[in-house]
Amino acid sequence: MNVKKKATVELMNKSEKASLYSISFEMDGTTEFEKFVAEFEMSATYNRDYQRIIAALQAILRIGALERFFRPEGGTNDNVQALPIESGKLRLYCLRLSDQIVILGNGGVKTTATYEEDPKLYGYVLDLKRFEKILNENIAKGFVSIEEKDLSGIEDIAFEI
Amino acid sequence: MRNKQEWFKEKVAAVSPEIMSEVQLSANIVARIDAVLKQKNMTQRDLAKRMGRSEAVISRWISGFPNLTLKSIAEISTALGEPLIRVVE
Repeated sequence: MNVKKKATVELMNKSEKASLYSISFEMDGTTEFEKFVAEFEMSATYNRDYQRIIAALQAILRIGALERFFRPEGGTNDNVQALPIESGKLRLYCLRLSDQIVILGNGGVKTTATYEEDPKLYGYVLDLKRFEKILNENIAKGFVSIEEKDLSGIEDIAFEI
Repeated sequence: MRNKQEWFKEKVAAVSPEIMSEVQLSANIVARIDAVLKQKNMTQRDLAKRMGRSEAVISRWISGFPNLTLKSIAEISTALGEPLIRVVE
């Protein structure tokens, strides 16, 4: 059964080049990216990969969200991408909407050949795919608009995905 | 209560300077390659062909945040006909 979730979006940081948002499914507003950080920042095994991902986000804020920085992960009809770290297995999934806008999701350690084989990672990617579909509907209806680095109106909406 | 942006900045500040420097250098090189490819109207496939390597290898070298060797940087730079990095003298 497909249980619907309420989702909100929060701005995590912005620069002249890019804005990073994250999605939240929690009543208290904890974002998926915060959950990712909470899980890996103290990890003895993955701390180095975690730090590289945070540094990569900083590079995106400084340079922009170049397509080349990401690896497509969802499918051909969506913008779900992963921030991969060379030789590392830790992945952060996100929606790259443009060179200026990224919505950060959750992530984890990829131990299978594809994310689809891992129920946890598959869930994170699916959440982003569903969210993008609803977001596009809201953009089409004019409730949210993409204005360069900003997703105008997005922080006022509770999406049902 | 701290807002999300302050929280984010704290996480960035906690990254070790060595890792931050490495990833920023890598990002700069990838961004430079991206800019040169666009400027020369070249694709990743064109570059791979010019370098006599598979597109999969070149994709790994010039996507994400790769830890490139000097040899790889020199090889890409030669194929592009443009410098990629500059060392402070």
